[in-house]
Amino acid sequence: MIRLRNLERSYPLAKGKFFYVLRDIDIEIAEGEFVSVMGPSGAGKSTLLHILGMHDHGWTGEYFFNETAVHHLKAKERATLRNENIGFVFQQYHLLDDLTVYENLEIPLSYRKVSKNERSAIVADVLDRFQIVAKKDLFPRQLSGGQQQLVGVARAIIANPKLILADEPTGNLHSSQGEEIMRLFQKLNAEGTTIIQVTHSEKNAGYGNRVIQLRDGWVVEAKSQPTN
Amino acid sequence: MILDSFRQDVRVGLRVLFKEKSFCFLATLVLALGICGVTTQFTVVNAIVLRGFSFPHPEQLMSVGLIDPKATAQNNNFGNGQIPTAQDYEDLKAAQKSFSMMAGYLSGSTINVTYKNNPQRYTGGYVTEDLFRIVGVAPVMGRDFTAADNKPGAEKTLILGDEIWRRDFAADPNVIGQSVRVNGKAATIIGVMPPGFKFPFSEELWTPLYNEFPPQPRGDLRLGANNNAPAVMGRLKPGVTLDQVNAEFIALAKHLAEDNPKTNQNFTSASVQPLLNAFTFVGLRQTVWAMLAAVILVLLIACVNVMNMQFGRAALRAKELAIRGALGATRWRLVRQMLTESLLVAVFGAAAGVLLAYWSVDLLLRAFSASPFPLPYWWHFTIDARVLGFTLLITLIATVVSGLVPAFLSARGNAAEIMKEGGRGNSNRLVNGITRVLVIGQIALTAALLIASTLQIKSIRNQMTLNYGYDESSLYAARMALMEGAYPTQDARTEFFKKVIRSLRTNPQFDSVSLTSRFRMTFSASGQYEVDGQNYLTDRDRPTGNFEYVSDNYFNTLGLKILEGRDFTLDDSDSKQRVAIVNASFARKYWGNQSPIGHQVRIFNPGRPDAWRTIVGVVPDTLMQGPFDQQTDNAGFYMPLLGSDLPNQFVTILVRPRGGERAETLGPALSQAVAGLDPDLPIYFPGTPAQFHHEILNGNRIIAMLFTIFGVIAFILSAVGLYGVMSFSVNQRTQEFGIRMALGADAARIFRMVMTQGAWQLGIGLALGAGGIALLLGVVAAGALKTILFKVNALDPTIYFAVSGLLTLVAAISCFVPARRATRVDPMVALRYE
Repeated sequence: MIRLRNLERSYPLAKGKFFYVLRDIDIEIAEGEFVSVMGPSGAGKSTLLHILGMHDHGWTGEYFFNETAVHHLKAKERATLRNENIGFVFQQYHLLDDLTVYENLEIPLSYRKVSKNERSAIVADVLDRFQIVAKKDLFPRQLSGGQQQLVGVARAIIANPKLILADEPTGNLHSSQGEEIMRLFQKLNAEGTTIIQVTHSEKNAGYGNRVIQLRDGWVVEAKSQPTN
Repeated sequence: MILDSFRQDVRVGLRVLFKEKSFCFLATLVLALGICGVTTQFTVVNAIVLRGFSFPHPEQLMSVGLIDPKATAQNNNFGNGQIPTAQDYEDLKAAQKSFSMMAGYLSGSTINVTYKNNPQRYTGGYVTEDLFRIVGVAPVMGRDFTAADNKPGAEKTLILGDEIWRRDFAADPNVIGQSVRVNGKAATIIGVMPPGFKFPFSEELWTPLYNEFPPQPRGDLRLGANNNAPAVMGRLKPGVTLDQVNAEFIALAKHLAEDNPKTNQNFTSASVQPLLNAFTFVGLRQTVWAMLAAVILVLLIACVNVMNMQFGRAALRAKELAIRGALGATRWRLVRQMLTESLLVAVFGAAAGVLLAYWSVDLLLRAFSASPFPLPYWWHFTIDARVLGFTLLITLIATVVSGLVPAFLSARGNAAEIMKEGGRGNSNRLVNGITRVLVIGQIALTAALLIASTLQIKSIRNQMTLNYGYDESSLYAARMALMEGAYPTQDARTEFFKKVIRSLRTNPQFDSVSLTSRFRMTFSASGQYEVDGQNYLTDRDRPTGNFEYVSDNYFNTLGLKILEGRDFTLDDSDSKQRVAIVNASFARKYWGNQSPIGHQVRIFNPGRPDAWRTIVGVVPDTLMQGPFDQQTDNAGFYMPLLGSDLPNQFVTILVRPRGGERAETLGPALSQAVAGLDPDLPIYFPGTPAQFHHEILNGNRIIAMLFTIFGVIAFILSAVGLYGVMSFSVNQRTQEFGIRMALGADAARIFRMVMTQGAWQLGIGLALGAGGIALLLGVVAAGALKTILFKVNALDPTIYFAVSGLLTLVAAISCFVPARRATRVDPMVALRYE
């Protein structure tokens, strides 16, 4: 599904020098995988995630997404590709404060020009699937952290993405809530969604089937592991 | 303790403001503009409406007038009433008990004085003997008038004002007792008034009223022109209230109306009101208050701008305040710190604003001094303690308005959450809501102000572009006054007028010469008249119109052709055949397409009905009612000046230059020609009609200019405010835009979101502002506007749409830049942005 070749990301420093965040990244991720990206702070994990999510355009190298050469696409084409294929889950949940749970879920669909009737049906289905029907009219601030992240995950999958990118999805949750979210990821993965998560937690990484270790922008280890 | 802590707040505040120089500069500038406007306008209000006279107990000084309860406010002298005849003043004075003293006066009148063979025309007062005693000011040299001085036939006396004593009498300490000629008669100077005294308005000297204009028996009275009935004032006895004195004079007016039905039947009521109110007519009072309201709106807009800036600062300082809170500062302590900073900014703004106000008051004074009419001498446009007190008050209000809400909201944050959220603050939603409401308020205020300003400007434009019906630059005019001393009878005056005409017509510099009663070629006389064949049941049924006494050849001098019938001739005389010429509007109004020739018209005079005048000609319309009267229509008529049996003392000479000459060069030739006929007769108010019309609107032009300035400032402040709020809002929503983009929103959608937010604010603001001002002008203040706006519909849709369009344009531009910035949000950065 994803193939990165010689991918590098750097920021210019004074006197023509560069600071490299990611160096010579060669990664392949197959459809259906559940990959955890790990490493210490500043290793380049989140940057990698944003490049995969096609938010970051300042990199060099090759990036193939389902055989589409992302590195040849214009920004608008990348946005279209992203909207069709990728969902995001954030550590800070990033729900929109002024919108209800229902409206938060509806947003990605409205950006994909799904008709109102269809949107209602899909949102209703997701609310039911995530068992948050009762919360649909609440605002994010009226939910616990775990519930907010649940909505965040629901929002990420609502447009039926092939890939979910999750940046420290349990970073702000206590352990039982974190476990719940990870089990949900596992379930989604089992249903066919590819998941790439950034995490500091060995335990959370254990929910996936492969770990990519980053250090100072380099891939130092990429190993498969048995599922829990 | 409190002082110490305040001192500390000030010290910290100064340090913070020094650090935030751009905020400090911008906020000071914005507030300075607002405070300058309010201080300047309050100086005007203070001078015209509040400060008043510096006499002892000025509150006891009252104006007295009789009222026709069924007449319009304008015909009742805007509520001040009038004294129909000098005899009414005498009767009221004799019967009343509320006043300790009463006095009558004619102000702003012509007094011709010849001193050392130099004739000069002055603006002076014809006054009864008690005028100076009633206000409590005595001459600094010589003596006051006595009842004997005021008697008809007594030797003429004159009291000089300080200014002309210094200027024209060389400050001669022996001036008392010197002989001069006043209005052609020998007179003695008996006194000099103190410096700066020009009561009632801008009088340069004074002479007794009845000595010049003996009161006539009621049977001979003529209402209207040349009646010389005085304005009347009185000083209340201690303890008498305004209600009591009004009750007494209303009763007296009823008695006068019953006893003298021919002259007084309509004047069944009276109005006694503070002199200052009567001197500043209602239209002027309303205008200066309306202008103060306008500048307060500008200040409010300025405060809203500063408040928005404060919100921006508060958002940036949320973490600092949270830390202070965590370290033990109470919420009140934090509010106080923020408020102290607001106070400091407001004080800087006030200091700069007052300095600017000194400059703008000076500018205003210079503009006013270009007026052909001197300002009332008791108007002092100075920034005094009252003005500074008011400025202090508005500074404190500006502090609270611009600083309190941001300070309170910044201080109410939960320290732990703010620090956890990384400085975004948890009051964002509320702050966003408030700033949006503020922008709506700002747009509403600006829309209201711009609409009011545009209406005012349109009104003045209407006055400035009035069509007077002839080429105003092609003529030259000057006024002369034939006073009773030199020209005691109407025959003598008529003879002199004829002499002037004959002489000037032989002068090769003048192509055409005529005389008219029209004042400064702007205002004709007006009053009720009658037309033959019309049925008038009561006095009030008689229409009101303009009429003018003119010599032969007047219309030719104006460049107008007689439409039908004939012009006046030098031989037209009331003693032979009483004739009149009507204008086209008059003819159309009463006879449609029929000829008015042979029909009859006359001025309505209830005391002694005139004989009818036969219409002998029809001429094109000229604007007889001047640039202020909206009630009287164009229909008017003319009577022969030289054959009239009415005493015409004040006459305008009108001359047209020979071909190729410029009218404004005729002054010296005209002065010389008149001086050749009577060396004691000064001519005054010289100039072209175009100059007169320009000068007469000087005050209105100043008002229009001020309204334009207010509007432009409000407009700029609003644009800046809208831009600031949209920028602030976009900054606050950076993360939201990032999330939305991460979730699939494209740039166009984000752009639309920001523009839509601006459009909503604009729409609501416009609806409130335009709707509010329409309600205010169209319904609440509709009556008052009739005296302020000249031929302008207060609900003129063109103006409302134009202002809305302009604000829409500026709002679109103000939103465009932040909206574009919003589309450039990098989701990756935004999502890390905490």
